[in-house]
Formats: sequence, C-alpha cells, structure tokens
Amino acid sequence: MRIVSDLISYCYHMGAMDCHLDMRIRNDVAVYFINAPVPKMTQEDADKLRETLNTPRQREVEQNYWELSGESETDPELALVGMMVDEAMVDLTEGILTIVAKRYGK
Amino acid sequence: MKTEIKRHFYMPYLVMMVIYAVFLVVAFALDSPREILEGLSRIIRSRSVLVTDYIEVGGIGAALVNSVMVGCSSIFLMVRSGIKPNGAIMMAVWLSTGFAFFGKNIFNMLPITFGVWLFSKYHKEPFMNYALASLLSATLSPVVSELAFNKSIGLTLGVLWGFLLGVFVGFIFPTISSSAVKAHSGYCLYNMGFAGGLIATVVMSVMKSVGIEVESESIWCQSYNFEMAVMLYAISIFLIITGVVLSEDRRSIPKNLRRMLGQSGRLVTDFYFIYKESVYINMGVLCILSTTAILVLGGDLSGATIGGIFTVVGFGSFGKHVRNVLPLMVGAVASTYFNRWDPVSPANTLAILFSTGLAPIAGEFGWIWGIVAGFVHVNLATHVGSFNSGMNLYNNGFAGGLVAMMLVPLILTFRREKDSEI
Repeated sequence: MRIVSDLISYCYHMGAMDCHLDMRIRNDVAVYFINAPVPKMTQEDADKLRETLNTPRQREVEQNYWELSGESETDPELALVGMMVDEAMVDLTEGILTIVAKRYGK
Repeated sequence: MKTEIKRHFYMPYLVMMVIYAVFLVVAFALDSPREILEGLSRIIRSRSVLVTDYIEVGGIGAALVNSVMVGCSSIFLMVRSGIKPNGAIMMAVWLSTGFAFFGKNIFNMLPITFGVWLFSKYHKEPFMNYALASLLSATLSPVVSELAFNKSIGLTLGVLWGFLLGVFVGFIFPTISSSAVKAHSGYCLYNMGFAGGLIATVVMSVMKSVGIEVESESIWCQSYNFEMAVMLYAISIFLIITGVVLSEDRRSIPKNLRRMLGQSGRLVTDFYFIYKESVYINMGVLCILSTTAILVLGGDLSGATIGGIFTVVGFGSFGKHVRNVLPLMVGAVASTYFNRWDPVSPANTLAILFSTGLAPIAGEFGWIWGIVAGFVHVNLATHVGSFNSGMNLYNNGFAGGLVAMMLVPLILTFRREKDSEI
C-alpha cells in the first residue's frame, strides 16, 4: 500500500488531478498499474523515473527504511520505491503517464 | 522468487582493504607486535562506554589493528551474505571501521550480530535482508562490555549476562530501528543511533533498577594529532584519486558532483548507486573538510574524533556532501561558544562532527535551518548521553533524531502556510 501511496503522490506532484490505479496480487507477485494525465511532467522526468524505479532491489535497505515510504510530503523522488520493486515500465505519451511496477515476494 | 546469493569481492570492499593495509603498516611502524597484542587485550576488556578512546586504552597500534579486525569482519559478513555494496553498505562499513576506534570491538559486536541473525531466522528471511542492521546494531556494543566487565557482577557471570543481553538487543534492534525512522521522517541520517538511544535508555533504566551502576567514561587521547592528520589527509587524497581512476566516464565527474550537491540527502538517497565512483571524490572532500575543521578549531584527532570523521566520510556515499554539512557545522561551532564547556572539549568536538547527521535538513530546507539544526543539536548531544550513561555509541544519532523530530514539523508548518497541499 505504501508503494501505491508514493506513486500516487508522485503523479500529484506532476499535476495529476485524475489517477487510475489497478493492483493485482497473484502467486507472490504484486503488480501495480497506474495511469494518469500529468501536465507538469517532461520526458526527462519520465526517463529519470524509469531509471529510479528500475533500481536493483535492495532488500537490506528496504528492511531498514520501508517505514519511510508512503510519507513523501516534500520529496517527490521515488528512490525507496525503486529499491522496493523488482521491475518497472514507465511510459509518457501525450501527457499521459503509465507505470507498471512489479514486486516479488520473499 | 527465491533470492540467489552471489558472493563477490566488489570494488568498494577492495578500496577499504587498501585502507586497512595502510592501517596495519602504520600500526606496526609505531608499535611492536607485543605492544599491539597487549593493547588489544586491554581494548577487549574495556567497558567501552562513551567515551572510551581505544588509542588511549590500547595504544595507537592496537587501536588501528582493532579497526582492521572489525572492518574486515564486517566486509566478510557482507561478502558471505552476498551483499552487493550500495551507498548504505559502504556507509555502514566506514562507520564500523570508525567506531572501532572508540567502543566497538570483535568481542562486543558478536553477540549483537548473532541476535540480528536469530531475528532473521525467526522471520524465516535471509540474513542479507538484515545485513545493514547487523553492522549498525553495534551502536549498542557497550551494553555487552559493560555487563561483561562490570566489577560488581564478576567476570564469568558478567560475560554470560553481557552475551545474553547483547543477543537480546540484537534480536529487537531491526524492529525498533525500522520503526524509529518514522519519528524523524528520514531527516536524521543516524537512524540506528536514534533507535539505539531508545533501547539503551530502557536497558540502562532496568540495570539501574536492579542495582547495577553504570558511569560514562571520558578517556580521550591527545597524543597523535600529527600522525593522524597525515593519515587522514592521505586517505582523503587516496579517495579522490580512487574516484578519478575508477570512474568509467571521467568527463561526467563534474556533472555528477554538481548534481550530488543539488540533492537534499534525505533518507534514502544512495549516492553510490546514482553517481557511481564519483562518490569517492565526495568522500575524500568531506574527509579533508572535517579533518581541517577539527584542526583549525584546535581540537584533538583522538580515536573518537577519527570515528566521527569516518562517519562523515562514510555518509558521503549516502546523503552527505559539502553543501548540506557545512551549515550544520557552522551552527554547531557557534553553539559550542555558548555552552559551558571548552569549545573543543571531547563532547563539543564530537557534536560538531556528528551534527552533520542532520544534513538533510540543510539540504531540503536551506542553510539557515541547517545552522539552526546544528546549533540545537550540540545542546542535545551534550546531554542526552546521560539518559543511558554512554551505552549508545551513536549518541549523536539519538540527539539528532530528537532534533529532527522537533524541528522538521515546525519547518513544515511554516511551509504549509505558503503552499496549499492536499
């Protein structure tokens, strides 16, 4: 849930006033799908987001700092979310942001 | 998906091994093997509460060898667990190396590490998930030594109680530390110190209740300023050269450093992952800055000071840079002229260095708030140690966490009046 909260918060920082979210958990894999019009977001932001969300999973960091996720009040960066998800697809087309992120279990 | 363990001796570990090799050369140049062995014995049998300077207790050679032993065992643990180094792990190894100059040794770190391992088994998770916690849980190492060598208990019973309590605090540490981070929202980089302070205060209260008296120490070495200054500047230059030599794209170094300076450093900001080998340059510059600051102020490069400098350097890969630490140091130095102690007394010297744990406040909210945080930090750091009689090695993390808990909501309140947030 914290991952969802951070992703939605990011979309809000990028100017989203509508946000569509789907979440599915099957066979120990959680998949998050987010789709939102983001008027403030540039292609450079999208590239940075793609890089951040594809940070290799860092379980030792996640274990210590996961409580910080979901509380981003000032910082729209998603460094911690990036360390908590295993795969991510980011697309920005005609001002619509699509994120598909996967997180595997233990 | 099952986690596969890949064991490699990665470059950041190799860089540390070069530094350890230098430590060994210096140790055996300054002291004989016999002096080093006797010194190590005194270090291991010391109470190790704050401030127990191992250079004064065991001699320069033994303190350096102790640091190498603790550092190598930390790296062994990381390699054995299959941890690929990131900024947090690099920071933790530097911290372990630094605190092995004043409070952490092989004897008092093992029970706590074992406790963290037991916790991972209890949760049926790989130990690698708790590797960071296991390195930093050594903040509570004095708990083991204090009980083991407390004269009112006796050696055999003391060692047994010390071991058991060490295992217990190691077992609860991961839970407390991951929960404690919420209190300061990631604006105190020394979260483990904050968590350790909470645990040590409870442990101390129980010990006092059952009649075990613990007093803090003030063992501080003033004899090796020149040698330590040479060593620290040599390490700084080595780190800067390492950063330049190892960088795959040297032309990107200035850009990387500029981008790094623009980051707040709030937890979790992994400089090593983002900027790769350029972080070594940042770490080298921070080493020069903190060493020079202490020398200019007229402070001592004691074992504890070296621990503080290594902490600043280590966090150069995980949140600190010149721009966000300087305001803190300025505020902290100003504060030392207002309190009742000598500005370069041990407590003040350490508080100046460790105030930089609040670097994200300066990085996020600007230099004025950074100066305020540094100023307030010194006042707390010189007092909160008494809550646990020096049993929490990262005492400045405890103080820093309290400062951030109080200051950040105030800053955000003023901010909210300007910005309309949902």
